[in-house]
Amino acid sequence: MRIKSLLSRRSLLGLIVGLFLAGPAAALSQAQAEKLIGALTNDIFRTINSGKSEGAMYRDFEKIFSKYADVPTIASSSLGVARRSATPAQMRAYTKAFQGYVSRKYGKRFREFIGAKIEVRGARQTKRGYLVSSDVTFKGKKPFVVEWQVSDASGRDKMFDIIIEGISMLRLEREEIGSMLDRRGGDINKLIAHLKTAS
Amino acid sequence: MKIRMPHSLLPLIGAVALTACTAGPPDQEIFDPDEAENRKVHAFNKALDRNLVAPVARGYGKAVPVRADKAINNLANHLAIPGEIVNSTLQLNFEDVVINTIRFATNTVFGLGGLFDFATVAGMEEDVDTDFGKTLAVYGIPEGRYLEVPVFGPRTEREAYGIVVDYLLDPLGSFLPASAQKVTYPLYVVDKLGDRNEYDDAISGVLYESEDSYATARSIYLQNRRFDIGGTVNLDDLEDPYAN
Repeated sequence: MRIKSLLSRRSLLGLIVGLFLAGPAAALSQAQAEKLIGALTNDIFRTINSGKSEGAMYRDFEKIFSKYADVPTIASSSLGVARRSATPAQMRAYTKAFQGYVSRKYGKRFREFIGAKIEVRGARQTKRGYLVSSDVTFKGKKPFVVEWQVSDASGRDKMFDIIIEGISMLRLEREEIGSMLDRRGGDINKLIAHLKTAS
Repeated sequence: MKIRMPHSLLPLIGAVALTACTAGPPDQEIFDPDEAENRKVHAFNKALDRNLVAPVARGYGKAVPVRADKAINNLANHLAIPGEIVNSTLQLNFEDVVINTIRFATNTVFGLGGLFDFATVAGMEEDVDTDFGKTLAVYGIPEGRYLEVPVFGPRTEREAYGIVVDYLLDPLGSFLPASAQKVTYPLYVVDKLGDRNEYDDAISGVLYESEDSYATARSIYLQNRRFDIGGTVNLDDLEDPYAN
């Protein structure tokens, strides 16, 4: 019993401290972050198991990506330092091309999840919001961990990185886009043209 | 043919690894001073995969029934457990020792010597993957430089030492008759072929569809290996695109 009252006292204290820290704006809560990822993974798995054609699935993934993810931030981060020399028009074109490219590339990976189950396991607080953890299980196999970074830094609650067994999509794509740009002599327009069809 | 080494040499190898791993920058960065050499090995490994490993693995996937492949995979995992128990003991992780010991006993008795994974069907705790590279990490040995090893692929210096020790450690050798030992290494190779076939889309995606397969494989290996060793993502290493 003593433990119980200690716990409730501690959580009350946590609540008060939390209210002070949170300030006037309604900050992203752990429950909201988990809910966002629950809805996102539901949408992904509904698409995977819909039996649609590959092309239709990629269009669905692109809709899901733009609905739940902070695409402008992810795109700009993936461009690395090259974003500093890009014009606003180039940034818009790049972001659009990047969104299609990511939807095709990761849509292809997600298609391998057919028949698997996903379950949101909880979340840890991070500097920018929450890291929501989920388990993907194929029948008779060890589950693997997919984690999602969620933040309201853009003004809305958005996902901005997917980390599969420790491998960050954001980091991988920054390296990949960096290699693409290098190979095209640093020409952003050539990069954009390439991304329109790449997967 | 397998060269047997007296087990008394093990501490010596551990000591060599202790002093030999090159201290690099903090562990979340890429330390690849031998990149030029590594890229040559990568080109060799890629050619090996394209011309031999991938076609054989796909042939294996077509020829061997799923259930047989599963049994081979179960057996390979099963035979790896004694070595994992030794490593968990060295890491003083007795919870993992208990989990793997129970699993090994269960599948030996109820899984026909490891051909069936009865423990998982019965809903027992997952097996714990560990190796001597992780043991070295637990002892505070730095990751060292990044290496691409012929045939084996991406490793860190620390894991490369680990592979050698795990090979010599081979606690099964003490239990299994010599005839059974002849089977364990071919089994390991066949199991790896099964994996190459099962994860064909993902592996081929990295090797043949990414812009710079060397850099992609390196990034994937290092991120995943650090995650395995830490048992979780290190919150300090998370990407922060809002930082600037």
